[in-house]
Amino acid sequence: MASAARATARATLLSLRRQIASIEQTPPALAGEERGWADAQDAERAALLATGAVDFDRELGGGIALASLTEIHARTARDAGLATGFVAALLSLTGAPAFLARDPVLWIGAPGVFAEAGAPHGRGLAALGFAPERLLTVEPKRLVDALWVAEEAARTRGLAATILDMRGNIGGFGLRETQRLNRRAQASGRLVLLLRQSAEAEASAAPLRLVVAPSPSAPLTVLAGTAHARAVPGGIGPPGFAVTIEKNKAGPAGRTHFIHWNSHERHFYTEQARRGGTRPAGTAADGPGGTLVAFPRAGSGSAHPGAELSVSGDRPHRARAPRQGLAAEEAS
Amino acid sequence: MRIASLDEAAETRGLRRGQGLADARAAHPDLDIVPADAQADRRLLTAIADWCDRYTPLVALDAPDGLFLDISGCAHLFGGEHGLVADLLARLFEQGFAVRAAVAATPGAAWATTRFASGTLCIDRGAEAPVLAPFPLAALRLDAETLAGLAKVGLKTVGQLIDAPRAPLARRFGRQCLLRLDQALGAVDEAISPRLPVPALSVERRLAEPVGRTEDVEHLLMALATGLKTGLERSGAGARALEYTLFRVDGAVYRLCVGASRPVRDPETIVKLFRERLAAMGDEIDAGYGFDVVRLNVLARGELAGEQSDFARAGEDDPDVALLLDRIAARLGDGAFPDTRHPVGQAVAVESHEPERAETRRPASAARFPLPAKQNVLQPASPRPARLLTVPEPVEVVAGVPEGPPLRFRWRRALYQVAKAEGPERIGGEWWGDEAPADLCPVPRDYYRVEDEAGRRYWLFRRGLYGPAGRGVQPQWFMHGMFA
Amino acid sequence: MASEPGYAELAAASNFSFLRGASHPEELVVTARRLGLAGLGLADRNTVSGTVRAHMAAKEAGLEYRPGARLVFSDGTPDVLAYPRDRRGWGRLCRLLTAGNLRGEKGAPVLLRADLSEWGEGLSLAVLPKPDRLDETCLSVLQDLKGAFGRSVRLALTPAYDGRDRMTLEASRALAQASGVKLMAVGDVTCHDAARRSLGDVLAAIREHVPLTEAGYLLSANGERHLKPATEMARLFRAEPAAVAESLAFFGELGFSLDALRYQYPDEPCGDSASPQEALERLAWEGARTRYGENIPDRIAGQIRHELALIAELDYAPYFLTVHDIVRFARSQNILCQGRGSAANSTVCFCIGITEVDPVLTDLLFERFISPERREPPDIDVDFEHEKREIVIQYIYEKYGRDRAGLAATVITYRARSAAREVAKAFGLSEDVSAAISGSVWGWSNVDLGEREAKAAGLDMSDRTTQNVLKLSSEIMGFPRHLSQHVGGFVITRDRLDEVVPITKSAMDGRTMVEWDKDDLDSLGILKIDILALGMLTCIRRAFDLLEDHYDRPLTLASIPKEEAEVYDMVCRADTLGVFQIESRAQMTMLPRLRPRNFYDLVIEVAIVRPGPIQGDMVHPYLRRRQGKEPVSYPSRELEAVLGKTLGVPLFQEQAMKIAIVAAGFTPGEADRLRRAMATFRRVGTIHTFQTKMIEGMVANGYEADFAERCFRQIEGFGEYGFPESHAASFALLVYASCWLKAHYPDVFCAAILNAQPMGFYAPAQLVRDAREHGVEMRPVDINASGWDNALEDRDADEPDAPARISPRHREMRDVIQTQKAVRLGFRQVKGLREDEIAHLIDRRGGGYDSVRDLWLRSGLARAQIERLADADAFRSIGLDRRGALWAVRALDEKSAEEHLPLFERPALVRDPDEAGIEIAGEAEVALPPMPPGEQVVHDYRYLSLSLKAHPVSFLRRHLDAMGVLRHEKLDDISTGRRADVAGLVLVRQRPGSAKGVIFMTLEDETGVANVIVWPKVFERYRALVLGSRLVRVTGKLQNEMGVIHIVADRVEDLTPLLADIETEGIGDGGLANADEVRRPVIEIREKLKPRSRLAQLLKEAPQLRTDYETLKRSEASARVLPKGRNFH
Repeated sequence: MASAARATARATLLSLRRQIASIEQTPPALAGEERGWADAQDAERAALLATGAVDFDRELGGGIALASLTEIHARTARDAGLATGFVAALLSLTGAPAFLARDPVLWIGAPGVFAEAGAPHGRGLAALGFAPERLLTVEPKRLVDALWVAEEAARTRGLAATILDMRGNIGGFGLRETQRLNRRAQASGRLVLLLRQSAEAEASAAPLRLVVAPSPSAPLTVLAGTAHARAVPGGIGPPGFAVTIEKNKAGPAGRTHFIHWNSHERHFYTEQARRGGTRPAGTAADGPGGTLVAFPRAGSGSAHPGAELSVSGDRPHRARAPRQGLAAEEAS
Repeated sequence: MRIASLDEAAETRGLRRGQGLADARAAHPDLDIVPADAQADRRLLTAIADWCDRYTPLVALDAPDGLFLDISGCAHLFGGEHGLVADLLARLFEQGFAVRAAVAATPGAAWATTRFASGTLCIDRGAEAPVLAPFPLAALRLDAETLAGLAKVGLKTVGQLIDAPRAPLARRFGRQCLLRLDQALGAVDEAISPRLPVPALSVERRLAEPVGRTEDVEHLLMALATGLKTGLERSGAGARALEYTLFRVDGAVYRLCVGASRPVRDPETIVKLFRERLAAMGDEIDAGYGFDVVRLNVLARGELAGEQSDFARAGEDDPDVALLLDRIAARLGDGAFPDTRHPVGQAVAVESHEPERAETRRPASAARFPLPAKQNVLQPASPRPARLLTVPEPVEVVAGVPEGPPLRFRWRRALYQVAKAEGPERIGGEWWGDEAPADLCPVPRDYYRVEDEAGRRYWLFRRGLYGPAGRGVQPQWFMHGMFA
Repeated sequence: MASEPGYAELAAASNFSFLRGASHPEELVVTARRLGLAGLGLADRNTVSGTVRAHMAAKEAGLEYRPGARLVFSDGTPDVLAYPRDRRGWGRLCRLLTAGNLRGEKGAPVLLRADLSEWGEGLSLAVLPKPDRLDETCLSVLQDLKGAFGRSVRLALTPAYDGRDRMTLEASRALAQASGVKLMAVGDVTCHDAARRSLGDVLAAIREHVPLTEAGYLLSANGERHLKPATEMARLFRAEPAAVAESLAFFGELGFSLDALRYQYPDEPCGDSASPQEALERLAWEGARTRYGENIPDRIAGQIRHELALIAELDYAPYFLTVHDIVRFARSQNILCQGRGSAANSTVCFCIGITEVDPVLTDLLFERFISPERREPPDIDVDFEHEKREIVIQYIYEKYGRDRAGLAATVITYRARSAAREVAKAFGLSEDVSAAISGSVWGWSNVDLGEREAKAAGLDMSDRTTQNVLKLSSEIMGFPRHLSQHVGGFVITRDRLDEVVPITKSAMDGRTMVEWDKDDLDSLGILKIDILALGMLTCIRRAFDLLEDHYDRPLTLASIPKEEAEVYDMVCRADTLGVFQIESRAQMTMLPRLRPRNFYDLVIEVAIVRPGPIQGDMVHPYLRRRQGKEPVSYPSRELEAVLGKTLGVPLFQEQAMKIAIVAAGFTPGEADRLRRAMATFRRVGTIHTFQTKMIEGMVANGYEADFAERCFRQIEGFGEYGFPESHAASFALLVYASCWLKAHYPDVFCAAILNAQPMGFYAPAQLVRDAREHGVEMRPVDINASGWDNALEDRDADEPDAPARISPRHREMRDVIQTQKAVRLGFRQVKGLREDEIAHLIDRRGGGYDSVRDLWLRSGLARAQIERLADADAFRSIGLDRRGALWAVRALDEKSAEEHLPLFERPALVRDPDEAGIEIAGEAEVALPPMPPGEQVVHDYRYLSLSLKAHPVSFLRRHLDAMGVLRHEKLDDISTGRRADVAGLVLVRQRPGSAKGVIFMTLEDETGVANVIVWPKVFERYRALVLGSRLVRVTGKLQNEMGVIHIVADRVEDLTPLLADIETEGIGDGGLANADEVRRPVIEIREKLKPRSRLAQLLKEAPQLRTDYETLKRSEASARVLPKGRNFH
């Protein structure tokens, strides 16, 4: 009896909050959470996606922010495969919040982009650890439709991520559009990626812009991890990426990181980290703030793959407040 | 496979139900055979039952080919039983059905008479026995085993059964045969089970002049809703689900259903609810020669209580992917068949060695969210590129013969030096398809994974082999995708 | 080139890796030879069943060849190629495979790594892991094997063309290095040529029961798994040349050839004799004295000495002793048996009792069957009573043990129809279409499998799928599908059989079989004995028993009076219904023309109506010469010796072979290969070279080309049903015996043959009718008189005796028939009764049952069984007719049966009469309508398949008379060329394969049978009637040739509805003969067809009818009246 009454009371409370939220243009969370609704919401929106490559993550301020728009650039169409793989890798990271590796991903191709650079290929993404059945693609005939879909998708919490795949600099897409996307991402707490090929940097509301460029693959070894491991001459091992942090609201920009993707354990690593055996940042103490969704190990670590180590800081850190507001900074 | 049904021409050739199809074919190779579709038959029977709704709401299916109509109290609307049967037979005949019918006081007698009497009969209560007596026992809806048993001892007609002493019969053939007999003769009651729930409340109009215009349909609805109001008021209830049934002259029946979140009684409101439905149905409702019967049924009632506030305002975010997909379909789709031509596609792995066929896009509306547990999809031994070119692009390649990997290649005017390479992966092509050559040996492709000096990784293939194995096809190189 | 690289392929799988390999072993061998490989090893999946074929082919092709197997484990161990290094290694390999076979289900052996540890000694092994399984598990397997078997272990490596070959190579190198074994290159081939890729895919689809379009990764990615030349292997392995060289080293270690399997006859107890030869000689002379008395004629003695010398020379004595012992055992169990086959018709076999055919009667030369130069093992088949063969089989298992005795295998292969059916299914075609396609296929050659038949089946030949289905169907034809047990071929060895050849389970419990078939065993000179089942022996045995019991006349096959003229008279009249072999329509037609007068004539009669002589067009020449219409002449002087006994016309398989040798210059070995090539049909496609060689050889020797071609066609005809003279002779003995019984004791013969059913051509109805026409009194089944079997009873004094009852048609038999008994039908004639339950009924009968209830209570029979007895009208002796009995049976209350004790027999408990109506006493009288006679007869047919009361047609006679239909008995009076109008029940419809689509129908009315010939044109017009009717009227011209009467139909009318006038349910298939091809399929043992529709089957087998029909259909198409589809929407 008492619990029923409590449930009713909570439902009333939640509905009131919804109304308030809608008035204040802040998103409500799913009802029915046991713990505090607002806290969970905050935590989720402050979540960072640690890639596992230590230096890279550190410069990003702990990782890529989930609840914001992130631009991923490929300088040329022929780098599209790299950028696509990089995105698929981000969406498959071990240790990320469960939804990120579980929920569907809507991949929106701007008109013509698939024809030019090929469409994302589930079978290929699968080789990186991405579950291909999550891949939803749509290629609207008009850019406005693509944008509309992207905005609709960005606010859908049932999606793990929204990817807007574009080519070149296009009239009709600029600061205003990125602002809108960024705001939606903040609201939903879901990853929204702007994947651009052959585009010049232009005004954008995205707090983070990464440029993905080619980097040689790591050696291919057989019987790895055994006493009989040996390299295959000419073999193509874990793919390499040269990732330049071109714009970064959370830290320094301009540096290029050479990282590789370990598709079996689903994390990035830098060659040094791998050789030296140093663990990537995995504790809250390492991170500058926010909720650090951390990757716990590198190399031959033995943690159960897919384990989600969501280590909260002692208390919510407010240093990254701008992420929550309506970021309207000028793009660099 | 066996013959399920025959037309007259086939019957005259001596074919019969239950005969093996292969036998029938052997004897008559020119048979025209349509696979039996029990579901379609049932749909048809259901459609006819729907149509018969015009006579009485109490229509029961007697699959595979019969209907029971409980016309108690309805016949007078059609000028009595004879009138009703004549009307029904005539109308169904016009629609192209061969129908037999009979009217009797018991379902059993009606069933028997319909199937075994030579003409259309209306049997008065109590007059069943003499009519049924000459019929074979099959007229009593007995199971095959009982029928065979009775036949073996020489009991073959209903009359013989009526005359036989009951106790010895019951002892030998079970009570079923007597029950069926009693049901047919009216000694035991038998109820039919109507197909549709009997509506809580119902009003109908029969029109001398069929109507077809939307305004008329709405106007009639208003009249019917007004008619309902009294009934609802009497029970202190409102309607929570309503059905507006339109009977077209030629037999088509449209059923429009609306639900109300709270019980309604007001005719205006009811009409408003239906107005959106009618508009949404749009062209789907074809009045044709017009509707001659309209009926408004209350399918569910609820107590009319105090008003409730409406929280329907949608939040800014929405967890529902399905809803998103619907919206996208609404905006991008052509609207005709949202299910099969949904603009959003879900990647589906197909077990095929051919890269172009190894993955297809399934309309996302068919996908379920959240996604079902990961299926074990087999992957090819060698990795596939992150982006696959829709059409492989020809490239100039320098490579070792016969099977060396590319050393240099030129693609989209740029020149690439290969630093690392793996392959070949030979894919022979699907030989059973329509495009395959007559000798069932398609030209194979040799795929190579290469990495250029900068560190980009590509998927190239050579179509055709060098040497005699290539069988004269000039090898050609193509770019097919880019790896991460 | 300085040094040509050498390579031996050691991972080749043939199509004996069932539904995986896509080439015949012979094809692999021939291709390996052509590619110049240093050697070939055959390694099929857990079997060596293809090794002998490869062995024989390799010998012929001159290729180095080693037998082995690919071991596929059930416990995750990677595949291992296993090859024996010596004879003992072979034995171990066989033991290993046997262990796996016996552990698993039939066709699905379960091998474990432990088996390899146990039996791996003496084998060279190569581990062949899948590329993605080159891991530490694999390493540990390698290390284990290396530890156990040292240098004989290799790691096999194959280029997979999967894009990862370099990785595979590196991983293999790493594992090889870590385990200290050498790398060996293999091709892992599944076919001899890349073009077989498509076929391999089809096999995979068939194997996994998925259509090709859904088979996905079950199919091959490419066609690289074919044999490759050494240079190509060297190129592929240029990074690891040593691996290619290692194949030669591996191959060089293998010192075992199948030739090393020397067959060892089992030891037979020799009694007091020192050796098998002495024992045989002792038995032979003892037997000779029994047969011929103390004064053995010189000629016989000489022949015995001659044969014994030959047997001694070839060391065959143990074999004869083995057969003798089996026959001795059967005799001791009172099981009738009879030997036949090449060696069986020797004087020695006659003397030691293996056969009862007196060689004097047949004048067969022993050397014709045992040829010293070929060293072919002697061949004796022994037929046993079909009901008792299992006893003999179990005796053999028991005597020699399962490790020394096993059944030979039969390789079940794809034949035209099964091939087309399964290939069509693999292409995802519907059941209907695949039926049409498979129905269109006829014959074995690819030429036939083409457009004409496809069109005839209504298929569009421009359709790609149809083309592909037909193309691949012809490729798959002859492919082995699985092994099955041979019908009776036993292999018995002195040493362990499972060290000669692996033993495997057969589908039948309690039987084991070896992995090789008859031909394989033949090829290796391994002896087998055929233990076969023959229904006629059962019949004769039962007849002998009845004769002894009722006529006090003990007889054996040997003591039946020989060469009685009355018996041959009967045969000449074609009064042979029911007797062995010469009872079919075709035979009956032949008898009055051939007029057999002595035993050898019967031998010819048995052999002549067979595909060989018919296809060779030898029948008519022989008949003409026999009737003196044509002078006897010989194609040449040397053939006079061969054809002397058959009037210059070759009729027997031996003669055809001899012609190949004498006239076409074949060596005996070649002739033998020719025969085998025919017998196992176009496996390798060398038939045409034989054909050319034979015809050209004969023409070169001055024979007419036409004769040469006919001789070859005859050999082709023998291919499927080889029928040598020696078999014919043994069969002829049974023909004579059954004729003798039928001639003198039709009552005995009738009861015996009914008790041996099902067998022969005719159904009980015809057998009973024939017995009645020969004066036998038949009595109905009755609960108080019948046994399970049909039995003889004493006749009533006031009944007329047999001669008085003989029908006028058989009046010549009056003085021959010695029948004095009546036949009481047994319960076995009633459909649906169970022998064990009826045994209770008979046991507890005592002084007889006096009511249905009495029977129920005392016999304990279930009500359903009693109802069956009532259906069969078996209660007449207690005054109940069928309906009365049924009414009473229905009243038996099964539910309370358990509580029933006679003590408690509950009298009338009258409750609510409608409720249960339990009362027993004082039940209301029910006047059941009496069953009309016509209905009685129809019910008799339905439940007994025959009626003693009347013939169904008799009830229609008035109607038929009005139509002007003749009674069959009147046909004798009509002269040839006149028209006749007959009607009757259809007994048999047959379309002999050799008769160009002619259908033979036999009709029966109450006075006799009428034989109808339906030509294809007429058949097309009336096909529905011919195939579907049970009662027909036929009008046509009458042909009377020497008393053989046929009506050549030109009009057929369906009278079946008239039967419904007698009784609504009709008679179904009651009374239809066993041999009716429409409803009573004689299912080939080799290819068990689903008993779906024999009717459709018949059409499939007569595609030429189809073609005609299509023409007809086209002309009718315009007049088509059937509307399309359904009429409503």
